[in-house]
Amino acid sequence: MRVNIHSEAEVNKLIESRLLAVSAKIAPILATMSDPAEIETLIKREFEQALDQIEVDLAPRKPLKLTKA
Amino acid sequence: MTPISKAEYARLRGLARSTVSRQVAAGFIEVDAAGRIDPEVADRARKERLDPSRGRPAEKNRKSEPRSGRGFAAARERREIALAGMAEFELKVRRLEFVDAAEIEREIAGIVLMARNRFLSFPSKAAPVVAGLGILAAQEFLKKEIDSILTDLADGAAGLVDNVKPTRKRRNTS
Repeated sequence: MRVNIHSEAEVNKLIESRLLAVSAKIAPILATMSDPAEIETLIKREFEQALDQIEVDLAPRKPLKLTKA
Repeated sequence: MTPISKAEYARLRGLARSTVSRQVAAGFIEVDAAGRIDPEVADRARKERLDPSRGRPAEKNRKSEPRSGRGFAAARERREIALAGMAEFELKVRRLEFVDAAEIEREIAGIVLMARNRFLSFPSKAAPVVAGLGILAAQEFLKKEIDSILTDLADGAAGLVDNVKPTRKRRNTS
């Protein structure tokens, strides 16, 4: 059985890598936009998707009582 | 010493005849050609080869696995082994070799919630700045802001996580 309890460092690393990937992905699009409202919508949507996925990836796959530290 | 019969040896040592016969058959007690026992030799052999507390063969290299029998002794042995295992596990919990998984899950959920709150309030502040920037400048700005938010989150999460994971490091902001 696989146990996916993450350390804080792993969580931080995951968030960082995902959001940096998002910023790299949207930067070329942002460079073509001038309307702050559109920019805000785009960044928010992309960040929301990334954070949703992060939450899914961090969710425990099975209920556990105790696990190794 | 003069050899004696198995029955006599059993009587002298306060043993059942069947016990002596069984130990002879198992080779723990040697007998002469007539089937008689030298008491001194037999005493030495029994002392060396038999478990003195039980009158049974000493169990060398006995494993710690519980007996598979159904008797009281077997049940008690299994219970003692189980209790020892529980005590050992409890010790590991106290030494933080094991931690409460639910607690870790709660802490991580807290970190993710904080991250969500911070990152979703960020676009409204970033939008006016990003407007008009080139690709590299926009990417650099986003990276810097993400690093800054994650650093704040790492500091904020310290209180949440330190009680279960004492080895956390501040993020490098350079």
